[in-house]
Amino acid sequence: MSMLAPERMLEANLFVLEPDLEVVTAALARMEALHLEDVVQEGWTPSSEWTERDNCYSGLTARLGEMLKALTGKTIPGREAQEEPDQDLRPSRDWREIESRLAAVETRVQAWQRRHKAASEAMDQLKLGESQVQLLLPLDVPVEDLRGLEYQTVTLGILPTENVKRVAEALFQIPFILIPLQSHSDRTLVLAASSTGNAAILERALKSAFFEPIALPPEALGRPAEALAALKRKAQEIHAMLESLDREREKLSAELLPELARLWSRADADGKLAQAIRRFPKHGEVFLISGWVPVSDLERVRTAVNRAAGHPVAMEVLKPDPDRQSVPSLVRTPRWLQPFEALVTTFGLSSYQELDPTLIVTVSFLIMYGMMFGDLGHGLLLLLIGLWLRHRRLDFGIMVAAAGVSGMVFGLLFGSAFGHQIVRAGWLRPLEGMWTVLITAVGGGVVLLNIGFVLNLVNAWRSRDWPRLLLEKNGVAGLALYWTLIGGGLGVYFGILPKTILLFIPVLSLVLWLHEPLAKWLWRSPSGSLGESLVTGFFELFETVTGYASNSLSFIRLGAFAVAHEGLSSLVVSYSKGRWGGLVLLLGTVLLVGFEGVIVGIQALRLEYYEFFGRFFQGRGLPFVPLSLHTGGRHASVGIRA
Amino acid sequence: MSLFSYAAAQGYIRARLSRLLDGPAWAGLLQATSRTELARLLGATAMASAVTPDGHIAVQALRGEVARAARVLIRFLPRGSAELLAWYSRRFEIENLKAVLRTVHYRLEPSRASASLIPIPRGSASVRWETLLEAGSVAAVLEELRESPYARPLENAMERYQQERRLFYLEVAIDLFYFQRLVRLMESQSGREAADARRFLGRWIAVQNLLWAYRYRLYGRMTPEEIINFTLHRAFAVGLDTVRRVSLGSLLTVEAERLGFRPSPGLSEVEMLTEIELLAERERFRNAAAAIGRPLFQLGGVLAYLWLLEGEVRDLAVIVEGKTTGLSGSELAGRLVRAA
Repeated sequence: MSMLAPERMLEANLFVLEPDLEVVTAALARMEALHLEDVVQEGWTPSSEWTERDNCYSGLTARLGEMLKALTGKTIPGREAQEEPDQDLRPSRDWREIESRLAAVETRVQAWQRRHKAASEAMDQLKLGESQVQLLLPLDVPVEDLRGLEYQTVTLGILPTENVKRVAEALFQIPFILIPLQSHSDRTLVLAASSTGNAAILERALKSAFFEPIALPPEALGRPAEALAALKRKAQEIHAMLESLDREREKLSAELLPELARLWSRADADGKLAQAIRRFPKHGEVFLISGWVPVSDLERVRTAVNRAAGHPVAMEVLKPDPDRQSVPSLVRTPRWLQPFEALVTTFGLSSYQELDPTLIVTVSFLIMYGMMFGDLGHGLLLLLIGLWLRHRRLDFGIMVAAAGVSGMVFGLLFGSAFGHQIVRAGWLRPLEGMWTVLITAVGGGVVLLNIGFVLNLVNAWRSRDWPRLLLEKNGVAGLALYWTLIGGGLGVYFGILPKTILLFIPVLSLVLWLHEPLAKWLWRSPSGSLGESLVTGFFELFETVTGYASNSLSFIRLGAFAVAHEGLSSLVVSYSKGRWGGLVLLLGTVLLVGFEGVIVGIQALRLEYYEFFGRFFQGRGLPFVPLSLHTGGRHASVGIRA
Repeated sequence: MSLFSYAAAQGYIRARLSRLLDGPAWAGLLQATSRTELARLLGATAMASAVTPDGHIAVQALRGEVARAARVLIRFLPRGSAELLAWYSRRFEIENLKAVLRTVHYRLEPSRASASLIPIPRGSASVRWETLLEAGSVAAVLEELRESPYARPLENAMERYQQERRLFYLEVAIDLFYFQRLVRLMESQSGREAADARRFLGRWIAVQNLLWAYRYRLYGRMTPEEIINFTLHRAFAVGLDTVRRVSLGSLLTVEAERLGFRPSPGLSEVEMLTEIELLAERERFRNAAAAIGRPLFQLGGVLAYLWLLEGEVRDLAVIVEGKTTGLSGSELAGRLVRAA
């Protein structure tokens, strides 16, 4: 049952004295067994000191990230450089040491950064200057002469391209010159000039069009060709300087990176503790750590906490009340089943009171897939594709491989390999036993729907939801009506059952129609007005009855796809006998495995999500995310759904 | 094909028209003696979604409903019209963006500022407001927006903003970008769609442009070249020539009359500007109400419906605000876009 049900949880309230707070929190974080909960209780307030400390660690981590980025280009150290946080984590003490060591590192790295920035900016300016001076080449006038015009204002700068025309329109009152020199992307280098008397108007017009003036570099002296040569020489010098700075960075990196990685690991772990502690409410000298612990971990938690504090810590353990509390859900899926978890988690996470359907969904999905894709050869190809995907470290490769194996098993049952009937059918050939395949598919669907009914009954029982258990369409009343309609109907038709059994139909329909008023009367369940309940109940009943039929018949597609797959495979085989036969066979097989393989997967998922889950599964669970020193925690790393 | 698209849009509009408040409902809201009574009355209408459990009236939620209606209608329309309507609807996003910039620039509390944002339907907004509100500076907001269409105009204005620390430059850059693209999209329409776009949106854009030009002259004391740079040069009835006249001192009465507005005599130009703004909104609402009565299987019908919705939300906002400041029903009626 534990594989099907989320782990049982207990609410743990730990009353921790201030001196023990950090060691206890660190012990809890190392155990990764406590999902923290925010508690609001009169007289208990979070500590502002720890809020500041948390902010301090955020700042430290950001600064460390900046240093790492300056040296390695990444804000966090590589996994191999990260260190396991040591046993003695104390955020209230550690930050001073981290801060002082970081400051020393910053002094050296920032000095390098300043020089690098200055050199880069100088290089950018020179490049810009080069492009500007290049534009002046046809003038053949000394550059310095352009700067010192007495009766003209000449300015060079960049305008958003769309504003060039706007500036010209805005200068309608004065004589001016506006020459677009060079356009790059959506910005244009322009030269604008007016008489000195109109300089203010020109400046206002340019500024209001978001003009960015460019000053010619001071190194640009003499005629443009001479100035350009001087700028190029200067650029070479700076380029050499930048190369030397890059070598310096490599040295700095080799020297400082181990320490930075160590500081980062410690600040990250301490920061996680500070972030948790800032949430704990405090009363006097006592902090309250509240959260959810899996029952199986409770004693371990108690022992670890007592050992960390050096004396017994007051711990209150309460049973959950899922009706009033949001209890997190932790499903410990066995390792072999983990690759198939996505079949369920794509839809949602089972809540604390819901059964986890991963096992049933995996089995039913593979059976449905295999039935629709039954071919020994095609299944083998899918198996190989799946193994190759797994080799490329893609988890869903295992699911693809398992689907391939299922296809192979059904291939043996259908006696088909690459569309050839080269093996003896273990069961039947779909094209020959079409009706049998279709009826079996619907029969299988009925079985799956009934499993859904049963799971709903268990879920309703677990959550003590009596109206859902007894009166609703997927409860006892619904299940009874389903069987009276289908089983009873067939029984009467074949003369196995008496016609009187059909009298149950109106009685059960009445229960379903009136389920809301009945629930209100029996258990005081909330509901709308009587009139509203009767109207909606009637339409729901109509939908339920038609739904029973359509949901069951929906599984007919399993048989239809089985027949279609064999038909298409035979078609490919029959067209692969000419000159281009090999090519036809290859393309046909690729199409069948690739295209049909995906469609069949979608169909199987549709049946799971719509027909099966609709009976019992809501998937609105709150994931169990334990306090941890690692991002994601071990629950994520080993695949336990959290 | 487009007829079928518009048939679906018209079907949606006809079904939703009954949700608009009728005359007696508006009369009741105007006569409400307190905000509590106003909330109670509103709670009994199709606008109940704006009334929070604690009796607060969230007008922005209703504006979100307008954005949502626009999003639904966009799905029905043929490609060209859908593109135009989608861009037109971006003004909700732009309002949010301006609110974010104000929050970050003035260092307001992000949690409080988020309440003033329009809840734009998921999927239609190209930006994440919560992230932007938390940005530490306007430059950081721009960094977050780098993948959005607003990045380029904002970057153009950023240097001027950084020099003078005035949000005006960023806001004007976004507005110009939005309206210039809207005009281009309108001009790319053809046939009846183009005529509708011009009739409904063209006049609205022209009035906006005129009001901008006067606001810059009267409130901002801007020079002609600045006024010209901060307004649209192609805005249908109010193009570059009009803006030039305004920038050189043309009287508001003269320019307003050219557009068919007759402001009350004896008002100062500043007062007149406010009045023209209201007259323009009333005209827009009136045109929308007249258009919606006809079976319009084209863009105009859709725009008319959205304008009716917007008019409704605007009037409700006026009443909510008016009730807070203690204005009487008759005083408020004079400020609504619908006929009292």
